[in-house]
Amino acid sequence: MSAGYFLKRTVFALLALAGLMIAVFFLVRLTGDPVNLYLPVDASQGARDAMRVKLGLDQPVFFQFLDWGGQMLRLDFGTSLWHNRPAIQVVLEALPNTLALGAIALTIAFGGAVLFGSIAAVRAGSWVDRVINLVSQAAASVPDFWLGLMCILVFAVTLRILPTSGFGGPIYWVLPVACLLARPFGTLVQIVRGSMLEALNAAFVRTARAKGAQAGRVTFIHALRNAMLPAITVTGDLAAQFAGGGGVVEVVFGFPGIGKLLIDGILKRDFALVQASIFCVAIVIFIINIAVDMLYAAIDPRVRIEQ
Amino acid sequence: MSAVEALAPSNSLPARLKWLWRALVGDPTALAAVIWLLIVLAGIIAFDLGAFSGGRIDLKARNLPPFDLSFGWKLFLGADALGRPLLARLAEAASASIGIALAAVLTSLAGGLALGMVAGYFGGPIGNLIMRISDIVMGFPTLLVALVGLYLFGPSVTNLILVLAITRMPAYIRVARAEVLEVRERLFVDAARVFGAGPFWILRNHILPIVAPTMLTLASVNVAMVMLFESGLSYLGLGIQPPAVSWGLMVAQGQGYLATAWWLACFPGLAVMLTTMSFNLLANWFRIVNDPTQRWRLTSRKRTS
Repeated sequence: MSAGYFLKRTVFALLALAGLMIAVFFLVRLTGDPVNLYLPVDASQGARDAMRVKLGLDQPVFFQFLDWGGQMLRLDFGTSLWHNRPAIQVVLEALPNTLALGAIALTIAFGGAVLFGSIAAVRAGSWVDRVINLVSQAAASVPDFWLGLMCILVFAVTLRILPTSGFGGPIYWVLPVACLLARPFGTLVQIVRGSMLEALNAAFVRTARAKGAQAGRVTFIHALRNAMLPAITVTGDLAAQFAGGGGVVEVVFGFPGIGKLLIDGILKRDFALVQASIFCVAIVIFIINIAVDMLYAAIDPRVRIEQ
Repeated sequence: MSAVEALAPSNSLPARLKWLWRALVGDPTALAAVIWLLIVLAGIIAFDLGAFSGGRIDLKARNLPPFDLSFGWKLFLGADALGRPLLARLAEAASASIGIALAAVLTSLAGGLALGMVAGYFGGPIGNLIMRISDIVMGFPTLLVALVGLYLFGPSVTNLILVLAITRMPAYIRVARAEVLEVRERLFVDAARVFGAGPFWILRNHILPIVAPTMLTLASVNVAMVMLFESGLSYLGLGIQPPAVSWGLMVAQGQGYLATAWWLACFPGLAVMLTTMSFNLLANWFRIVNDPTQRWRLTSRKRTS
C-alpha cells in the first residue's frame, strides 16, 4: 500500500463526502422549505419565522452556502433539537456502541460462515450440505426486524430469560448481535461454500494431495486460504453497511447506536443530528475500506505485487 | 461437446417447456419456491377479485387467534386488532410488497441500463460524471441513502420506488458499462459504424441484445434484496403509509400486540421471509439453468445418485 494510493483514496473519499453533503444542502432547498426539516409539521408560523432567522434562511442561497461550508469545515453541525446538545457530541457517544455491535456480529458471522461453509463444501451433496444450504438461505432472507421481534417474543416475553430492550451488561447484547448476524452469516456461508468448492477442485489442491499432504492440512491451509478471499471482500462491504448502524435492529431493541440515532433523527426531524451522523458514518466507512484493502494485501501476495 | 448438446434444450417451444419442467423437478428447493410464489399469486388474484370482500372492520373478531376454522376459512389465520381477517390483509399487502419490489427493480434496470450504456459507449465527461455519482451513491450504506432520500422527499409509494431504484442503480450502471466497453470494440459494431449507423441505433440493435441477459440475471437476484429492504423501510414508517398496507407495515402494526396476539407480527414477517427466499432460490436455479456447464446437475441428479 503505497503513499500515493492512500492519498488518492483519501481525496476521493473526501470528494464523495463533500458531494453528498452538498447534494443534501441543495436538495433540501430545492424541494421545499428547509424549516420543515427542523420543525414538526404542526409548528406555528411564529416558530417557523424565528427558526428561519436563526438558521439564516432569510439570506440569499449563496451566502447560506458559504456559511454552511464554513460550519462544516469547523465540524460544527449545529445543535440537536431533540437532545439540546451539539449534534456531533451525541453522535460520538453512540458511535462506539454501533462499532462494537457490528464488530461482534460480523466476527461471529464470519467465523461461523467459514466453518459451516467449508463443512458444506467438503461434504458437497450430502444431507449435511443440504441442511446447511437451506438454513443459510433462510438466514440470508429473514427480515432482521422481524427476527428481532420473534426473538423478543420467545426469549423475553415467553421464556423471560433475556431483556426485551435497553442497554447495559452483556445480556443486553445477546439478541441484537444474534439478529444482526443472521443475514451476513447466510450470505457468507453461500460464498464460502461456493469458493471452497472451486478451490478444492483447483490444480494446486490436487498437487498438494499428490505430494501426500494430510487431508485436514489441504482443506484448511491450501484451499481455505484461497477460498476466504471473496468472503473477506463481502465482509468488508457488509462492515461498511453496518457502519450506518445496525439500522432497524437497533430500533427494535432500543440499542443506543448510530442506526437508532439516525432513524430517530429522521422521524423526529432533527436535521443537525442527521447531518452529523452522515458525516461520522462516512469517515468510519472510509477507514473500514482502507483496512479491508490492507487485510487483502496481507492475505493475498498477488495483490501486494500488483500494487 | 456432443454430450452437452444432447442435454441442452431444443428450440421448439413444447420441448423447451418440457425440459424446463424437468429441470425444475430436479431441484426440490426451486420447486418449493415456485409453489410458494404461486400461492402468493393466487392470494393476490383472489383479493383483487374480491374473494375476501374487502378488509371490513368487525369488532367481534378482534385479535381472533389463528388456526380455528369455526369462524370460516377467511379467519383461519386469525384477525387483527380491528377484527379484519389477517388472511385478507396478507393478500392485500402481498400485492403492495411484491409490486413495489418489481417496480423498483424494473426502474433501476431501465435507468441503470440507459446510463451505463451511455457511460460505456460515449465515455467522456458525461460518462465520467455518471460513474462518479454512482460511486458516491455506492460509497454509503444503502439504508442511509434510502433514509435520507425519504426524509428529504417525504414517504410515498412513488418516492419509495424511486429511492429503492436509485440505491440499487449503481450496480446496474457498473455492469452495463463494463459490458458495453467490451462489446463496443467488436467487429460488427465497427462494421455498423462504417455503414453509417447512428450511435443510438447501434446501441439498440447491436449492443443491447448482448448486454441484456447479464442485466436480467442481476435484476433477478435483486428482486429479493429490494423486497427485504422495502419491508424494513415500511416497518420504520418511512415506506408505505396507512391505510395502504405492506408486509413490513403489518409487522410494525402488530408489534404492539406482541405479548397478546403474536400472530399479527409473526405471519407477515414469515411471508416476507418465504417470498424473499423463494426469489433467491429461483434466481439460483435460473442461473444454473442458463449455465451450459452446470445444467446437467438439475436434469440428471436422479440417475447419478
